[in-house]
Amino acid sequence: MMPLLQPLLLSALALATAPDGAPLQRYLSPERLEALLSPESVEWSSCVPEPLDEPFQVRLSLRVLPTGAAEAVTATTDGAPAPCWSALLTAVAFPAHDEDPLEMEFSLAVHTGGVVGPGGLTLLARELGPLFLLLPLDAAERQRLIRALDTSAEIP
Amino acid sequence: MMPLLAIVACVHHTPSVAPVVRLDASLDVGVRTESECPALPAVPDAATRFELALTLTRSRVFRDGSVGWLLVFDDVQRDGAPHPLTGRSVELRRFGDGEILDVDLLEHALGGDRQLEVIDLLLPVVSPHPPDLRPGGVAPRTTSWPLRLPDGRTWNGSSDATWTLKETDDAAGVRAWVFAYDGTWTTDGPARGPRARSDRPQTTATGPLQGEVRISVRDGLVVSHTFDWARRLEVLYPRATKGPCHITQHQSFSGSLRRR
Repeated sequence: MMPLLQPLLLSALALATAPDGAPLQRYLSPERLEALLSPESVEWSSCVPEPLDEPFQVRLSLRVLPTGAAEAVTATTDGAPAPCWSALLTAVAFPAHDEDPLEMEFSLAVHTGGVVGPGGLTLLARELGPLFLLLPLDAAERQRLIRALDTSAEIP
Repeated sequence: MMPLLAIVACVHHTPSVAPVVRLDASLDVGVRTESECPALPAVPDAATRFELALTLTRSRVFRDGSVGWLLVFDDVQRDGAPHPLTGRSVELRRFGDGEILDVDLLEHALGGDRQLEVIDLLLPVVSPHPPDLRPGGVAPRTTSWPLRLPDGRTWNGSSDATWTLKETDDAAGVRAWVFAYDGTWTTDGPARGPRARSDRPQTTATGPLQGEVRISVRDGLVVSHTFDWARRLEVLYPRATKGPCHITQHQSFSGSLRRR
């Protein structure tokens, strides 16, 4: 009996039973990025000057390669470079993912109570339309067609 | 004693599933476009060839017994040039008989310059869903593969075909059931529902399909598949700048897929 039971038991052990609807973590969703960049995950507070004269905002941007490596990291406060914040962002361990390099920007709000964010996280989105049609057009022709067809109606 | 017997019976019928299956596919696509659409420049007829290297990896089991299979597009070439589907992945949630319940992560493979929705037949080609048959048996099978986006839009691919279990063979050292099928398929969407909007583009398509598929007796997965499918696709863009735009595209797909 054991030879028969063994494959089933090994199979059950190897694969976790998954709740319906939870996607595999192959891509970086805004929700995952917000969690990775939250003050609970990154020691943003170590960059807060002491004493803090007044609240300020830090604007950050970066690109996350499919390997998970971050590049083109920028951080500014009032338009001036903020090296402490960019160093922390560079050190964030992003997981590998199956997308093109992800370009994103977000901000952090610094108050006496601590750092709040990331806020306004935006990812460069892909334009999908027109769907289902294989059209031998170059990129410029394709853009013209997307505008002319008004494929924005494809977005609810 | 009964629970023990039940377990033994289950084991007996549970295929020993290979955790990773590598597949090579080639696909010739031909398109002929007709339009009543001032916005669309004249579109020449086109023929293009896709060569794909795919990996299917068993990823997880769902509570209903369906299994998630990660389908990775390891390498996709279109007419000899790298194609942007390369490196993307979707998850096929399927039952052991091949029925596709869902295709997760599809938003990363659809549209733009990736266009998995144009070659969506690859999904049922990778995961064929034949009926239970004895050798020589013939039976109809209706099956579907939903193309669902996170925003709720869903296009439904569906086929109605007559399947024949021709024989069991041992080609290339793999014992396999050899099925032939012949029928029609449709594409329709986005699904109309409470959130449907009349100004949203609508897609409908129908056409013939036929093919021959070998399915491993050992693991229940596709071993090889040759196919010849076509569809007449109609897309209506109600909000085109110079008035409603109606595009018809005749698409033909012929190709083969086999385990590496």
